[in-house]
Amino acid sequence: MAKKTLNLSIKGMHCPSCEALIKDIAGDCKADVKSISHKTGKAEVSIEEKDLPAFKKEMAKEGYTVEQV
Amino acid sequence: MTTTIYVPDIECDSCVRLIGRRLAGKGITGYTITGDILLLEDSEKANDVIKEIKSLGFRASTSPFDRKSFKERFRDFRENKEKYQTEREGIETALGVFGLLAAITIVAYVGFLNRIPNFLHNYGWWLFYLLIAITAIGAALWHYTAYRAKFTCMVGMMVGMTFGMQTGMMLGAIIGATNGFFIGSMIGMLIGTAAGVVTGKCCGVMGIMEGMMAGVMGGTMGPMISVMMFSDHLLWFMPFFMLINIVIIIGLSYLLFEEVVEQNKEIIRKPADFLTVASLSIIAAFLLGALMLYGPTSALLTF
Repeated sequence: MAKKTLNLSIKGMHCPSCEALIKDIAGDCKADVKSISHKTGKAEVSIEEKDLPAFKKEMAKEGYTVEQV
Repeated sequence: MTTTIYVPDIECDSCVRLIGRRLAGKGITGYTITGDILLLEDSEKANDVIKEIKSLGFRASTSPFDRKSFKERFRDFRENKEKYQTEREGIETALGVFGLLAAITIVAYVGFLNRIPNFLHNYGWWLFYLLIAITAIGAALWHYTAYRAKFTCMVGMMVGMTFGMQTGMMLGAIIGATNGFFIGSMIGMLIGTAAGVVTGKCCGVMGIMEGMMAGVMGGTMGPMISVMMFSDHLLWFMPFFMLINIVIIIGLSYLLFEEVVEQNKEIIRKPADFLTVASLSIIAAFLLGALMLYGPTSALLTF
C-alpha cells in the first residue's frame, strides 16, 4: 500500500523538543514527517493508511492529539 | 556506582520524554532524570548515554556546564518564545518608546524648535543621542525591575556599577557637548550616582557604593570626553561611543537573565506597563532636552 501525505493538526506541542519527539514517534510507526511546526500545531506526515491508527495511539500515549485536516 | 550526567538543555517534559524514548530504543535503562540532571545507575553506560543524548542535539557531560555560548543563547532566544517573553516584551517596549520620543521631537521641531537659530546644526545630533540614551537606559531599567528576585553581592555590584557608569557617561557626554563641562559633569554625576544607588541597593551597601563610584566616574568622564574632543571629530566619535555603551547595557540585561532569571523557576515577573515607561521617558527627555536647549552653558561653548 502506498504512503499518503496527510495534513495533520496536532494538539499538545509547545516547543522544538515536541517536534523532535513526534518525528521519533513517526519513525517508530513507519511514518515520515515532511514538515512540522509547534508554533502552528500542524504537520505534514507521509504514512500508509493502515499505520495511521497505531500512530495516533502512540501519539496519544505521549499526550498529543492528532486530527486530520 | 551512580554517575551524574548534566543535560543543561532540558527545558521541559518533552525533552525528558524524547531522551527517554531514545535511551529505551538503545536498551538503556536504570536511570532517573530530575530537572536537567540524569542519574545513571550503571556508570559503565555513561559514554553511550552521553552519545545518544548528544545525537538528539542536547549538550551532555559528566561535568557541570557553565553557560550557553552566545550562539546557543541566540538560538534559544529564537526558538523558545515563551521562555524569553519578558525580554521580547522589553525590546518591543524600547522600540515603542523610542518611536514615541522621536515623533514628539519631530512635532516639537516643526512647532517651535526650528525657530532656534542653527538648531539642527547645534542640537540635532545631541537630541538624537539623548533619545537613544534615555531609551537604552530606560529599557535596561525596565528589564531589571521586571523581576522580583534576590541578588548576590556580585550581581548587585555589577548592576549598580553598570547603571551608574552608563547613565552618567552617556548623559554626561551629551549634556557636556551642549552645555559644557560643569553642567555636563553635574548632571552626569548626579543622575549617574542616583541610578547607581537605586539599582545597586538590591544587594546592600556594596552595591550602593559601587553604583555611587561608577556614577561619579562616568558622570565626569562623559562630559570630559565631549569637551576635550570638541575640536577633534567629536561627531565621528559619538556613534561608536554610543554603540559600545548600548552593547554594555544589553550585556547587563543578558547577565541578569543568565545569572538571576534562568536558574530561578519561581521568579516573579512584574514588568511595568508601556504607559508608565513612556511617561517617565517623556519626562526625562523633556527635562534634559530643555536643559540642553535653554539651560546655562559654559563660556567656552559658543554656538
